[in-house]
Amino acid sequence: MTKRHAEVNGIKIAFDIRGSGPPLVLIMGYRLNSRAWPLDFIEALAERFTVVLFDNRGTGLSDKPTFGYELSNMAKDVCGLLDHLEIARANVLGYSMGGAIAQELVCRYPERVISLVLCATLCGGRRAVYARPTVISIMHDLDGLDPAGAARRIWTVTYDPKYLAANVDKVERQMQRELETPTPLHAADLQFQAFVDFDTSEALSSVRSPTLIMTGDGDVLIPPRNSEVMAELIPDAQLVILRGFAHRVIWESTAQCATLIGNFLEQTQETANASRSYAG
Amino acid sequence: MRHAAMPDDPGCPRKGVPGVTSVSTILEPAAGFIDETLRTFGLPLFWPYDSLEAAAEVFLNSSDAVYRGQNVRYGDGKPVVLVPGHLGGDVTLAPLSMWLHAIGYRPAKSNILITINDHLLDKPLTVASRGAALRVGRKTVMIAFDTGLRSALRVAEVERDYVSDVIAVGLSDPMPAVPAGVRLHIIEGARRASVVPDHEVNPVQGSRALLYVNPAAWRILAGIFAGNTDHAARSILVHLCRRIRI
Repeated sequence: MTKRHAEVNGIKIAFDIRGSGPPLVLIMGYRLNSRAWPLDFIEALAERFTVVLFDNRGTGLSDKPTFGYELSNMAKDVCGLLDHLEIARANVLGYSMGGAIAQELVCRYPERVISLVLCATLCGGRRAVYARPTVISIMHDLDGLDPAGAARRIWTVTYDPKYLAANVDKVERQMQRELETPTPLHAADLQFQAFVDFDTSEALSSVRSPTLIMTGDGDVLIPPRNSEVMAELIPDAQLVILRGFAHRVIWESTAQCATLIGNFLEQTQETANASRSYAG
Repeated sequence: MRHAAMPDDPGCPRKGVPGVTSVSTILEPAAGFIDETLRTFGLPLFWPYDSLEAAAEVFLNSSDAVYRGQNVRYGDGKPVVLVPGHLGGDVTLAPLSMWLHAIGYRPAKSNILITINDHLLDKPLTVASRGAALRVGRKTVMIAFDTGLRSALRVAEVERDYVSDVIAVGLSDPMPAVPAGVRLHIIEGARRASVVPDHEVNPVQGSRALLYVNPAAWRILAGIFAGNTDHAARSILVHLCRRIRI
């Protein structure tokens, strides 16, 4: 549970820090708070990095105003949190809408990002491939459902059907953890609008941070084609498409994702160190 | 000792006068209804022409891109209460309600079958606007059609904690006073736009009876929603400039 608070960008942001090593900021996706990260995933990363977890505005224990949900402003929240923690540069991992915030962060504050990991996300704009209307309506039309009912409805498009059938109890426990501090409707709506408005397709070609793009090939919410598009736009980006996983790829394949991300970040760190010593 | 009430005592229950009371009870509302109908829809002499014009307009506009949500900013989930005009109800406003929902707002049902007297709208609108605001966690926007504007303004004045804006689509005749603190935006048929001297009016071409499905009106609605605050500030500025004759 995130317990500490920072006054950032005019609001209170709840955060927590785990582990030690180079800093790694995790940015969560639409409607979810930092409690949603799989515990095994956090533990695995915390063995190699100082993991910074925080609740996006409108979620968890952070403030839930009715303004400021533009993803560029939410990237400013992250930047402000780094300032508060006196972290000059950090590795950044963004999942889904968090990936969009990470893109805004790296485009607007490139000097703050060491390496970037974009998971199950898109770049917006004309090149983005959006989900089918039926999938979007499952995500968004939740009127009359209680939080648990809404979460169960959303599962059907975020988890792989086979994984869901085999792991209902695990998914149920995950949901209970996510719903300890449910996201209010207004915050979810404003985040959704911001995600629809978001577009970094023009700016991604200027990204110079080493970037890993990963997705599941069965993602119906943010189709994997989006990752291919981002890999084309970001210079020298690495693309990994994990077979047999859906939008919740990190939850479905936790150990594999943690290893993949950890190895990528350490490898880019070593490459940077090597090039620095070569230049020196 | 209690005295028997005198016939001219205000507290004394009066006996009804058979005949006179019943006729006035029937005639007064009927006269009001007819008057309202004529004010809203004009003289029956012109109804066949208006119907033809409306049918042609529906046919010509049916493929407008705004109905498919194109070139309209996705909504921020604000709760919206639709207030029907004279002889309107939830059914007549269903197309607009579905469209608002599709582009990202949260229209709330008012549970009004048909409007024959705008005073009867006050209670269901109060319930709807308050319920929507509490459910979503944000103030409601009311979109009021012609005579429904009177009720919308009455409710907005009382329910300021739950209503942020009133958007009038077609004005009632006569135009009610706008309570202080209520942000009003106006969309009106171009033929009648000149009758509102003190407010900025967004005029739209077409049949006034079909404003609730007019694509130009929907585009303006989307614009008002997208730039709510800016638009409100501009309206107030125009209003003040006109007041002090700048």
